[in-house]
Amino acid sequence: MRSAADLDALVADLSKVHDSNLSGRVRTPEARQLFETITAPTRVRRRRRSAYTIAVAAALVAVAAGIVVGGLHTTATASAATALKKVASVARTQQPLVAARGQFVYTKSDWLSLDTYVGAGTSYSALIPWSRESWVGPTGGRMHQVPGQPQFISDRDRNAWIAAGRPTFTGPAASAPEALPPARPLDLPTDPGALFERLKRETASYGDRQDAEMFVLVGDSLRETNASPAQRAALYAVAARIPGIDLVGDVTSAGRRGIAVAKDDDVNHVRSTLVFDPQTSVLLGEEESTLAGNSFGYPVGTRIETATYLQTAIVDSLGAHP
Amino acid sequence: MTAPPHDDERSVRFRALYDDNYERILGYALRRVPHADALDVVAETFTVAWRRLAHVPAGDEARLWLYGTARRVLANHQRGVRRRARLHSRLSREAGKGAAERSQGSAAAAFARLRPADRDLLALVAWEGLDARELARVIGCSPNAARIRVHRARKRFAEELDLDAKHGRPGGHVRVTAIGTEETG
Repeated sequence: MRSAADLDALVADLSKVHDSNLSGRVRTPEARQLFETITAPTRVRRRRRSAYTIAVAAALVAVAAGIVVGGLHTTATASAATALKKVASVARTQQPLVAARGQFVYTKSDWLSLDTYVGAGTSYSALIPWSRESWVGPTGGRMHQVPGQPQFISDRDRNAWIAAGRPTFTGPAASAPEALPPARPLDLPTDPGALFERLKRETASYGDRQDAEMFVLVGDSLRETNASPAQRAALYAVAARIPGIDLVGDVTSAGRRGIAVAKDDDVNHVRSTLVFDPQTSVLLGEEESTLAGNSFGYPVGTRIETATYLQTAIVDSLGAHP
Repeated sequence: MTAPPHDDERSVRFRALYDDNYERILGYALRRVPHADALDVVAETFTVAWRRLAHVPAGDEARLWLYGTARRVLANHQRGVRRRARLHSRLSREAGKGAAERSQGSAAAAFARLRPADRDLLALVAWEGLDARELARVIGCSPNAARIRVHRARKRFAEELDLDAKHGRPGGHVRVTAIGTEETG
């Protein structure tokens, strides 16, 4: 009978690569170049999923992620700034959603995100639907995302995928629940002026797309966070001051009436849209779509990422549903 | 979820994470896939970490978070067409040198016959040196469940070794580089 240690030793002997042989590799030009590529400020930075492309070691995996609204029809009647100021005043009157110790803020959302594979002689993309649930609390939390069937944007994508042997976009591991760290209070000022300056400072390195990045940060701070009513109000007030925000107008998101505002990123050629409930100031959904000259080569207005926030509530245990 | 930290603060934290763990994650990937693929896995793992820095736990837990991420990236990665093509050509090459591979012995052959999930667990223990608590963090289960799964995987490995001893089965050619990363598509 072999001991566990004997068996582990047999397995260990099968490995030809040992960490001790890799000492110093982090200081090679290859490792430094990768670091610079990842942290380059020209990419679109998103807290959740992002629209960006990285090219490393002759392989290129582009992931774009997303948002959703489900049919934007506009009736723009007021300026974006006026609409955002209005929703800021609504936000101030809302009750905070606070998870006590042992409790969790539960959020259910549906996503569509663009996955692109680029390899030797072929490339294809598809929108992957994700059903997502998260539990965020002061003692930690959990996130569970389940992928659905890929949706191809063009026949070219579908045909390239078929020619490649119909490889799966997501494996069984993609559905595994993921632990989240304990939620900390959102460290953002509630004074709109101070918040505006803060976001401006944080995006100073973004050059021509600084305004677009500020809008992204506003979205990051509203999405599945424990922002207080005062912080939410400040975030909307800041959005009202960002140059170039468009009022898309009234939209429907999963059957709910919402107001949509958008900001174009003229460097990455994508448009980001946020949809909120004018009655409660809650974020209902988001969408990212292509503009002319986009690197995907898709027609203008192609949705490359959508998210619809379906339900948010306090629950009393991890994994519980409202 | 927390506020987006200042860019400098974010970069400093990521640099420390990267410097402390690059070699480990590179080792993890190199033990499982060929060099060029391993570099892709490392790149994607740290890109995910940068994008989701607010979710990366502090201290030593960050190392386990990165192993867990690398494991998922690897699983996804190998379904790519490029990987498929490479695997195909590598297997063709390996098929031509079966005699030489046999000298690797029955341990490698027995290991190669295990289910991918068992190989994954045993390799995380023996190659990455994870204990039950750490393994539980990486694969997303309780430490007790991790202990039980490893115990069963070791048992099946021992049974495969015994089979070889009993039947004098030849080693055959072994794909120790493809651990836990079987094509599923």
